Amino acid sequence: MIAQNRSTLTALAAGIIVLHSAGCDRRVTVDSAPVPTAVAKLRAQLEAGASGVVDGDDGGALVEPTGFATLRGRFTIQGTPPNNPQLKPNRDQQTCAPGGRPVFREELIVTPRESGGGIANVLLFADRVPAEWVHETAQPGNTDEVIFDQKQCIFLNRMTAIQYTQPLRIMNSDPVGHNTKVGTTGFDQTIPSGGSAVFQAQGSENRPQEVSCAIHPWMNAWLITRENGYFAVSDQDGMFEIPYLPAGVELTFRVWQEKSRNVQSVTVGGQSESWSKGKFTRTMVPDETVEMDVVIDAAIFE
Amino acid sequence: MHTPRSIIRPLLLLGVVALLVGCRAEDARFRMDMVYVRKQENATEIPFTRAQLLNLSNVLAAVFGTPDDPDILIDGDIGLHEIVDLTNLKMAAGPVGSDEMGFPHGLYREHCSHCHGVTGNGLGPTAAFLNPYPRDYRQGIYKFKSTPKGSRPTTEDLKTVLINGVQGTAMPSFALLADDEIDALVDYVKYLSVRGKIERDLIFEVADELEEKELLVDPEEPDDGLETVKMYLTAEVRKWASASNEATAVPAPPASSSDEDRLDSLARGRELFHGTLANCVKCHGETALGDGQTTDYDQWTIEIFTKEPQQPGIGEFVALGALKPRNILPRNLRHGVYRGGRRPIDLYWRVRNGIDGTPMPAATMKQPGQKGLTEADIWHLIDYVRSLPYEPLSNPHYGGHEAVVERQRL
Repeated sequence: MIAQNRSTLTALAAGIIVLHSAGCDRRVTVDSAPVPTAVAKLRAQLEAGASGVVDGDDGGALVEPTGFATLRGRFTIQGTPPNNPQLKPNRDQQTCAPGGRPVFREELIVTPRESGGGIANVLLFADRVPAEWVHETAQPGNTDEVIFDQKQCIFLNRMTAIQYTQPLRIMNSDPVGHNTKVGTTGFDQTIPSGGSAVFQAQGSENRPQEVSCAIHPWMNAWLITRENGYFAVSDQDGMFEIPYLPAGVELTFRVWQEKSRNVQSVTVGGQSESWSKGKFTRTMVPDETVEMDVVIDAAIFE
Repeated sequence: MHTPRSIIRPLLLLGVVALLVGCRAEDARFRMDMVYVRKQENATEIPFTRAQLLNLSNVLAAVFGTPDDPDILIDGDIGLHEIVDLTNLKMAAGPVGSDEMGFPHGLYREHCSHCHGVTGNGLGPTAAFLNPYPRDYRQGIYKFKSTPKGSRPTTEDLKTVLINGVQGTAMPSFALLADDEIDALVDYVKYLSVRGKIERDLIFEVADELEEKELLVDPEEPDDGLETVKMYLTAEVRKWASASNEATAVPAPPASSSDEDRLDSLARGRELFHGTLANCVKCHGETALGDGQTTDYDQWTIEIFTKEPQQPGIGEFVALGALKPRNILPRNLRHGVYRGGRRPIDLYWRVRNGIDGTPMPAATMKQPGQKGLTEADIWHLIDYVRSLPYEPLSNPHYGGHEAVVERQRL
């Protein structure tokens, strides 16, 4: 009897220990709790900085552009590009997939190898160019309307870059209704068949927003809104050009493609370059035209 | 089995001691949005370092304080004091209790945190069991409000949700709380919302702008980093501050004096509902049972779960605390249960502005020379939608043979 009690007690004690070690929330907390001393120091700096002068970004050495230059070139692919995924248009099929035509998400458009393998719809823009450096042809404040149309349930432009001050007129050339949503901007409207609506962006973005349609969820495209006009989207042959860039100063460019997102590893003029976060820098000489032959390995689109 | 007494006693003692020290509740603290961190890491293919995360955590604590001791940063002409009252925050924050005068504190933890989480991330202990999931405040997006998509809600909008609850969901009415307690909770929700949004902004800043391993606020040269923090804070506070001016004014419905007028309005509403101008039918379905578009996701889910046919795993996000994705379903309009309120004015805002964070779009209003809905059209739609629960089809038990036949036909 006593022995039984003892073994029960032992089992109980062991059970308590096992339950205890398993029961509490022991997930690894991946984020870190703030450190009070560091927090107090930051708080003091925040409060002190409120009236402090903090405009010395360039550390005093003022660099000014000495003229303007052009950056142009071509994005080409090396290797065999992956196939674009086939979509399943499951509604309004008469409009969206007439005759049962297969529909693909054209997330990577490459010209045939014999014509050079150019990559279309690669976005390139100059980042953080001070307004006073911008040439008059690329000035902030452009208000020219840009047309953005959809037909057969396809956005006709997969990659659109505009200045955020430009109204984007979203058309619907289909006999069915669409509903166009621009990422997280809050724009989300029904576009009546044959009608249109205007999207006015509120600010500059560093990454494209996805444009989509809730009625036809397989539809998508990309839109970036920038402050100045220093951006380009490569054409069907992979060619791009940004004219009148400030010369004599170091500029940071960013490169993005919808399948690979940030374009990070490339070969430029035979030299391999690593573009961390899709960024690279160039300093150009006034009136120079910098030619960039950018080769991208097909593997980054897998 | 024979176990010597000498072993049992120490074991028991150990168990008791372990119980006493081991499971003590941890101090409440704000949790970082590691799901969003992972999403950014995936986008840049560059992981955050521990030092970067700790730095972010310190910066956020310096600006916003802790769940037990919230703070607001007053900086020149704009700061959190523009939109919240620190006394209210203190009343809502902290552990549940009251002071010697009987004034309560810890209201948020008493009433809200079990669903919405201490951080306001919609990840309280009960969250996974609820459908719909509780709101995650950290994007600043709220569904039921008077302002357009993309705008923050007004104070009045948040109050309405607290007082009325959200019909058809687990969100109850808090109408029994005192007025000042409601005010305190509304302010605290704004505070958590701003804090969460700034956290996301700063995570994005680190991922998108900074060099690898670079700290957001370098302790040696803090100025640039702190300016960035203030820039985001100012922008977010402005959004909240301007919300009260952005509420969509609701015009009076067209006068309907006779039954004929009302029937005409219903007929016009039905026509719009099924037509390509308003497009309601595409999601709410031919039957209005909400079965037209059942494969979409809301804003909070789409962040980790895209609509791609080939779906990348979401296991990594679930492991970091994200709730399992669920499809967002269009409202079944035959029940007469409207989450955002059943008054005509509520329905007006839903139709006119859409529902933020969901696929429900805003109406495209008629412009000269352009297609679109008129104000009267919106009221016709509302009339039709409000009539749907009373159609025989909606009540097959009472509708007799006609309703059964109609259901079978559809």
